[in-house]
Amino acid sequence: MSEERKEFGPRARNAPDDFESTLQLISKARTGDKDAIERLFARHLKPLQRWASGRLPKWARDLMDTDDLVQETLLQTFKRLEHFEARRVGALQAYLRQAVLNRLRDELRRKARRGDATDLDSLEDISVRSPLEEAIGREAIEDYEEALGRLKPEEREAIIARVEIGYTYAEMAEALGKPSAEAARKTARRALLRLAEEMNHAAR
Amino acid sequence: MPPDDHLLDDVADAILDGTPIDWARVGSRADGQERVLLDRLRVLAALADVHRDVPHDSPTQDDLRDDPPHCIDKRGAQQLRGWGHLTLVEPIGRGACGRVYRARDTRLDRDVALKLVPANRALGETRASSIIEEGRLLARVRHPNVVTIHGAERIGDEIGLWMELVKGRTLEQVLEQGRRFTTMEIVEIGIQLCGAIAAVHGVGLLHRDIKSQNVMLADDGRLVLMDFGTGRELGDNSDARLAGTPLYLAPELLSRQGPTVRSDIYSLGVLLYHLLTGSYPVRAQNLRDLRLAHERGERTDVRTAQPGVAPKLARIIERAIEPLPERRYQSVDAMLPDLTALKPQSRGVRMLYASTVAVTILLVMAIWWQAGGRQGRWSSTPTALLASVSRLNPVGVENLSATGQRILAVLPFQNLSAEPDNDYLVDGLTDEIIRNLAVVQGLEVRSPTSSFAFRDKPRNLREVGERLGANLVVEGSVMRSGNKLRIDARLVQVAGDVPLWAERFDRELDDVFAIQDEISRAIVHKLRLTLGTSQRRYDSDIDTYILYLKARALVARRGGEAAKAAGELFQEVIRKDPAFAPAYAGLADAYALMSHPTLSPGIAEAALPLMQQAASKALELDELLAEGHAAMGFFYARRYAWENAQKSFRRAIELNPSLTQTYTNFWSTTLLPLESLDEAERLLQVAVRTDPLSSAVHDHLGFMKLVAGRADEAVDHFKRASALDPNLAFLDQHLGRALTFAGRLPEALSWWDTRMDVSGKFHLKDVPGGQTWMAETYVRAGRRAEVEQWAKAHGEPYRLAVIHAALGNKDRTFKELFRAAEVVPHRVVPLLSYPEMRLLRGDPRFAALRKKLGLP
Repeated sequence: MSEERKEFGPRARNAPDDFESTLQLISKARTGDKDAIERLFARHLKPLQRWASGRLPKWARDLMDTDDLVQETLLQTFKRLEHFEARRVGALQAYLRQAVLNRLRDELRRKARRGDATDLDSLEDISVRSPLEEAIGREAIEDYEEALGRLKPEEREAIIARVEIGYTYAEMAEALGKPSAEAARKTARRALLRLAEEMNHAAR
Repeated sequence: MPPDDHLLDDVADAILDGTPIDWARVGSRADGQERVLLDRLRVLAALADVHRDVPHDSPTQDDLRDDPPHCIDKRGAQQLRGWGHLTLVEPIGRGACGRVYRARDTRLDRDVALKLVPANRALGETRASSIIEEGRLLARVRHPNVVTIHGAERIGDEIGLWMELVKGRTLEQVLEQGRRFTTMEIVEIGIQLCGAIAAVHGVGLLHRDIKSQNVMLADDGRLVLMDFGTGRELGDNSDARLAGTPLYLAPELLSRQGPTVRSDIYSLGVLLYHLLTGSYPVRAQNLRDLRLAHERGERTDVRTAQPGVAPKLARIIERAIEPLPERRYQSVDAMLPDLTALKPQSRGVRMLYASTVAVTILLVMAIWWQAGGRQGRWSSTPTALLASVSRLNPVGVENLSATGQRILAVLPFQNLSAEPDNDYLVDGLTDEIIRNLAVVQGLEVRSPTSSFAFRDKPRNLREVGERLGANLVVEGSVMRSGNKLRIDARLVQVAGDVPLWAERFDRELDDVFAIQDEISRAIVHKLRLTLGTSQRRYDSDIDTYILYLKARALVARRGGEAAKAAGELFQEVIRKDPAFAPAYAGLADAYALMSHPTLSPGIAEAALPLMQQAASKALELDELLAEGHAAMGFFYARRYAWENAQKSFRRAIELNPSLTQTYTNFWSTTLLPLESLDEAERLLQVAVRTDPLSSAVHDHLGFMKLVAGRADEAVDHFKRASALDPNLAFLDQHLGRALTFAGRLPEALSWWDTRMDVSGKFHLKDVPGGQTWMAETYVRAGRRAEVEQWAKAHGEPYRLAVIHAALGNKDRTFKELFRAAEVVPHRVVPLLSYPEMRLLRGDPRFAALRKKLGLP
């Protein structure tokens, strides 16, 4: 295994002026500018689709089209951007991620209620859980989400950007309005330690 | 070792950057508090890994939208899309690395399977071209047991691999239908797959994803190896590909080494193991546990999983799945002769035989379909029967889960060996399994005390079900002979006595810990639950463990002398294994008993600090040890640190909900003096449900109701407790008091009249200590003069306070209480909440007294 971090995520697409233009796009989108919505959409769709596939068990990925789902959720969210106050790109990202997460949960609940899942009962347990659940278990995910919710917005955004979506520190600096990549690293580090502490409280 | 200032920062950076972390080393450098955080950081590291390694596994909407006319409408509209010379007909599968379609080759006029992998930037140019390269190499493999690849090409942003369309079922599907393979069939499948894999290895490729889902039993009778780990896996050593079928993966892949010929051989071994036993050599609920299981060498060997298997076949499989790659077969060609040797037929007849096997399988399947899918039909041997029964089970289990309640009792395992010393081992095993299962979410587990009521009784499942309110039962037996241990365990559904799972473990004695785990895991797996809060497993030396179990049995007797003896045994255990946290918790329990002045006069006060020491040590070693937290709760309560006491007890209950002693101690030491009656009732109701045959739990619930002013209900509970164990300490006294407060004076008086003291020689009413709690009854019954005589005869402030309270002498009662508070404060603390003290409430002196005692 190479020691070097495998980069993924939106880096290649994000031009350096992303910070400013995203904020401009948001304000345009709030006035219903279709082009702005399209462009915001294009910027955030893939990273979130990728993110979502880590949060869904295989059976669910097979049953519902995750990509469609994420796309639909984003479109709906962008249409209701008046509820969102743009501070930073990081905030938008966290906002979208939450919207998608809520939608995934609804969808899983709906599937489970409808009994779709039971058709797949014969599968190994291992495949009925999402990659994330397989790795850390359901309870830990709940602890994590709860703890994440208790962080300060900036800390939360840092975690989502770096840990979940895979921004580089330079991208993070832009998204969170930090002066340098090093400053972004420090923010992320602090946020991660705070998160661990919060999870510790949650477990009590 | 001094704590390292930057330790956590470094760990955080490594997590954020995805750099590997040596947790054992980091842990050894951390202090206690850091270690707690490290546990959370470890979870976060795993979480970050998952996010990093998630493959983007399908063409996105974006990709499709760019080219709308070609788009297949996923909702089923028949809008045909072309791909080169192929026309897509319908989607037939979606793998982690792309979608598979049935497509029509218009030039050759035949149907093919087309796998499309998006060649977007995420995939990268190098990988895109290596997929095509691999496809072309695969196209050179011509083997009857390998799917034929027709071609590979890139068109626009998609890579396509088209291959023969194999119709049939996968081996996994065949297994799912309840079909079991015979030894000869498995040998034949092994031989054919060896040939297939050799052909793949022959062109310099690896398969990397050999599993029962990837081997098709084609409609034309062939066995076909399918679905190469194309695309995603190429040049990718990440964990991502573990997501699908980690149970087949060689351990070295889990520790992030690259795939080799030998890791393919391992997967083939697991496949054969799976066909033979229906199970896997190393099992786990998640990737982390799987890694751990591999690290700890927790494997079920073939012969344990399937007793009676041909030893030669077992040896071949075992060699294929050797944890160390260098001990496996070094090539499939080396494995093939061993398999072939198991066949009686000469080589010339082999192919003929092979197709006969395939045909037989097909025939069987056809009949199976005709028969309407009745399962278990093909079982002939007892083991096969068992296996097919377990296949039926999901039905039973689903029924149970439909009612939402899965209530499990683990009956004491039977000791089939002669030596009595093994009783401890056997009871300890039962206890450990209960402990493991108690934390499983969605499962209610009956407490050991109630389960042990069925020890050495003839098996009567209905009675067990009714008395314990359980619908599932685990039972079994243990036989020890020297260093060998044979454990049989079964999970049975009470309704209809339906066996859901059964397994025999033939092991060395030292494996007992692993077996306890394995049994618990198997049950959890069978019931489709997940293990909750992680519990640490101990691998202590077996003699030490038996010593520990003896000590625990002594603590359970709850007497002063037994507590002292237990304390000594625990000390001995600790000397032998200073890292064995449960021994410290046991020691704390023993000290808690010794701190009872009535049980151990003289050493009571000295016991408390020792108890605290033992409890903290237990928690330092194992933060997840319920008994440790419960002991801390007890200690805090005795030191009037109410908030900490509540926290500790609640944590203990959370960690092990089946330990009912925690509930009762929480009530009597903390919730009673704090008068948190609602919480107490809720918890004690849980305790009664968990431990329905425990007299102590009924006694405590009764007392709670007495305090709450519900004396009639209290009487019922005390009577039930008495029926379970008439000798329970203080029970007589509790019932007499409850009858009094319920206004049932004649009953109460005759009850007191017949009670004898502990020696059994004197009537309780004639013993000074015995009179205390009768005072209220006598005064209510108009026999005040007798009580006034008692008041004169008594000297002890505590007793005087109770007697004067009955006489209504408020001032004198307060005086005695303040005196008692100096001498035995911890006895006065609960006393203030007793119904006998109700006349004091509202008086400013009452508040002052509570304050003096550290009560809110």
